[in-house]
Amino acid sequence: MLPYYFILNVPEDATDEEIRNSYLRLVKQYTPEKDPVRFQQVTEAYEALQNRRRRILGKIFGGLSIKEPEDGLLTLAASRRPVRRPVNLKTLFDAENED
Amino acid sequence: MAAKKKKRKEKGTYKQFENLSFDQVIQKVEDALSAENPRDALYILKFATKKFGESAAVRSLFFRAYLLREKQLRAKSLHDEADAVRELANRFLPEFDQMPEAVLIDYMSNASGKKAVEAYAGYLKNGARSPKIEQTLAHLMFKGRDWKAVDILEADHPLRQEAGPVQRAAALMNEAAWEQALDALNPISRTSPYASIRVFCRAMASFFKGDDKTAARALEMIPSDFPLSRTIGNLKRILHECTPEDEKRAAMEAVGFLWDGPVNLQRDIQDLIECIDKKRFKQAVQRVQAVASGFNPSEPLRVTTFITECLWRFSATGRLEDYDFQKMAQSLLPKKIIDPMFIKIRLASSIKPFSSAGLYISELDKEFPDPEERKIAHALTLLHTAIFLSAQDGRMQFRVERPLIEKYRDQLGIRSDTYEGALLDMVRYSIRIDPGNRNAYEFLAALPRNSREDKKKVESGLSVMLKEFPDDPFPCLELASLFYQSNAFRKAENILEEAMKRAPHDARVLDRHVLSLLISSEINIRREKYHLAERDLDRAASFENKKMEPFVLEKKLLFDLKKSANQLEPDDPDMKKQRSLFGKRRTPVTLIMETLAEHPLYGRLKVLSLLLLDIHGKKLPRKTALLKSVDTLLDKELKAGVRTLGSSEIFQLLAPLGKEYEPLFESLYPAPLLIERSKALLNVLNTEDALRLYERILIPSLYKVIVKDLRSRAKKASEKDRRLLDFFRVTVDHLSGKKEDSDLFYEVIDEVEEGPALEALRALSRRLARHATGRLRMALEEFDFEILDEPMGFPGLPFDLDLEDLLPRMEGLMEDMEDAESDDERLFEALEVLSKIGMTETDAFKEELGFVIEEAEDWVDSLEIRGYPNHLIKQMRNMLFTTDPDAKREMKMIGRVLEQTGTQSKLSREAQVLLYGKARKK
Repeated sequence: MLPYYFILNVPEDATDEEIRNSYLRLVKQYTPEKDPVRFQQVTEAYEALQNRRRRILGKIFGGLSIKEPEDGLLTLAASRRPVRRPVNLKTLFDAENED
Repeated sequence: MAAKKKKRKEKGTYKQFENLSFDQVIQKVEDALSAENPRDALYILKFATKKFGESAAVRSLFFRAYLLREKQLRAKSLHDEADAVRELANRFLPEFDQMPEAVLIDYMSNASGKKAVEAYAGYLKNGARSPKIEQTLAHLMFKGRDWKAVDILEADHPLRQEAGPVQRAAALMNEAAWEQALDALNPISRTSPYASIRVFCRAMASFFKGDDKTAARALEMIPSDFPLSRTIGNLKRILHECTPEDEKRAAMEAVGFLWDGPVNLQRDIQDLIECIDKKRFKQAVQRVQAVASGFNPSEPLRVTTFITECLWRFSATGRLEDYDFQKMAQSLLPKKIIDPMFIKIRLASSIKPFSSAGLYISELDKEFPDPEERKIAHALTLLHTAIFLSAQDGRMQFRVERPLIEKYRDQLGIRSDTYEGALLDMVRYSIRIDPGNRNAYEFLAALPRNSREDKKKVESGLSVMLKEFPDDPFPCLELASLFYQSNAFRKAENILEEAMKRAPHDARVLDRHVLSLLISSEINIRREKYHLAERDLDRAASFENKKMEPFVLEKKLLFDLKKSANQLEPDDPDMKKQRSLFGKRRTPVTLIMETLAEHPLYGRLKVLSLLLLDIHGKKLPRKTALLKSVDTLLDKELKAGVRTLGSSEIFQLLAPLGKEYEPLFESLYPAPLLIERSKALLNVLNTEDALRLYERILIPSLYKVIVKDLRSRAKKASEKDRRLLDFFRVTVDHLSGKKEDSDLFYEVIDEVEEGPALEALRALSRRLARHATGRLRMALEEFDFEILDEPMGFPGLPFDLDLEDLLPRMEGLMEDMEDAESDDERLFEALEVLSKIGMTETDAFKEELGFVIEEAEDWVDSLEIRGYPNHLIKQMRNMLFTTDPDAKREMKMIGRVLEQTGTQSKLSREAQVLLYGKARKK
């Protein structure tokens, strides 16, 4: 369940509305044409989180309910897309000169 | 020796130049420089100086060779050596205006900004500007930020004129304000020496903005000698759509500073899994911590908890030992998280499901402070537990946990004394707390309800749903079924009317409505109220429901046949004929044929088979004659057309009817009647459909036919199908009591290697288990047929021994184990360590090992299971493992110690089964 919160970028106590808004924003950003994989992840996450009962059930069992733990962990890894960090020119030059 | 060799080489090399002219020697130097071999070039140049003296051409070549060598040394990061070589190069420094463009660029590339601009100013004396050199200078300015150096150039020179905006932009880039920097670079034209800096700035601004297409396009336009070429190369690889995923990841790692947190979590997770598999638990703990803090630096504990929960699954599937998991969990999480997690683990793994649920619910306020959420969590926990128990048949658990159920009575809502009643109580309580959960009602409707009291419970639950879901026909349909079961036909019809109002176009509602009309007509026929029956049948027909059409037709036919049979005069000499309204005589055969004339073969066969089934189960006037008529027609149709039907159509004909048709037919199995009339039906079925069908119609009256068909199919079947057919046949032989031991099962299984084929057999075995009872059922469920070979009777053991009889003994053992736990555990741990490091030959070890074996045998004695069959001991072991994880851990530890020391064969059969789940051969 936790990976879904990361995918939708919402806190675990998010309301239905917050979840929906985040979902709508993300499907606009990652359209099926632009990024089909992310689009699928976002849709799956929304389906899992849109229902309050499912969210509570997820909170109860968390990772314990995952049948294939390896897949669960890899989903966790895939849920977080690295966020770009705008670095300055000096950092770029320093990194360039590093061996 | 090396010096001698060098000398010899030098001597030999000089020899080859001795006869060359000056031009030829110069050409050799040029060749060496082109081949990027400055050392050879310098060597030849030294020879040329000796032989021909130092000329301008030679000096120029010396300069180039030293520059090339300097470049090579800098590429190897040998900067001191490179500086020394630069000194040597400067000795041969030619006039800049005499220098070729490429050489000047080489000279500039490692010079300071000031020196480079001075050199270009000298170069300009020959009058021609060089865009290439100016670009190199622009790059140098950008890299060294020595902006004042360009002041020596003419005031209108672009390098000087446009330096201002670039300088301002560079300052903004240094504050990571890439967008503003790009704005500042607006005055820079495409032909400016600084153009590549503007393009670079656009690439970075777009990249950070997430506009990858623009970024990729801009990156492609940056020249290869741009100062940040390594970063640019990696960015190109990351943004290029065709870059393979692993190369992309490697590139991301190389420029990891461009992202927040770790860029390759997948690899980190794979490393973690590898650590678990290789039992490197300390490293695994470190990996989890690293991943969690990289993932979510502000709240790593959330991620750590999730990963730990996932790791529990590894232990649940045997990939990680319980003990190791617990140790890892304790290293990773604080106590305040571990304790509730272990309660949840008990709940998720359904160890003592009733009491685990009760315990968890009693602690819910800690995890769910919001009362509304807590209610839902409570209801969901109850529903989850009930669903699990129902799937596992938790009767035994119910009996084992009775005292604890009492303790958590309020949390669980259980009031009933029976297992079925307890499940219904839990689900009803779940509905009462959270009436908006549709799943709870669906599950409630699917639960068995045999007693009047249980039916009332289901009815009250579904009545709540009627109010909670005013547009949903589901509660109406389920209530209708319930009312039919209770023979409350009027109530059933009324509730179906309600369903029609709620969802007039829902196929399920329409089907059920037609069915209810048929049931009503059936009752009216029985009561001989033919006008009412006719009205019901007409209404049922008016729906024109495709799925129900054969049933409507069949009932209509039966109605006509029965009505006309009743209308015949009792003294009619020809009982085979009937009189129509117009006085024309119509036989039942004619009547049926006329009714079915318009229908295709499959439809006719379906109706005839239903008619046959119906007549067979009913008391009817002239039943024999009617049966004969239907038989005649069915025979005719089957003979004429069976080959024209497809396998799936035959499957549909022979498959049993659904439970909802119970009020209409005495038996739901048309297969025995049809197969009896035409064995050819089975020949049309393909093997897949045949196996599917036989699983559904595996009733004693068909055993013989099924076995025969399976045998004949196996002769022609593929290897894969043959095993399934043989396994099925052997199972039927056992079901019929023809065979009892395991030999035939193992004949089939031994032919199959581990893999999908064996999995298919296992799955079939589990599916067939529901048709069996006793040991055969257990053997099929567990896919362990040795159970069949165990002797049936034991001295002093009642034949119908229930596992419940063993429970008090088991509880006693568990208490004993708890008392002795700490000492024994230390002993077992010590033995395990000693056996792992190979110190098993000491007397002390052997003595302690003897105690361990005695301990295991004591357990067997205290349980009084000596002489019991393996399957009962195994069942008891499973029970012990699910109810007491500590006992499981201790037994597994002992098992491992004995296994590692090769002493498990010293155990009795009973102790082996208790420790390992099966007896190992001595």
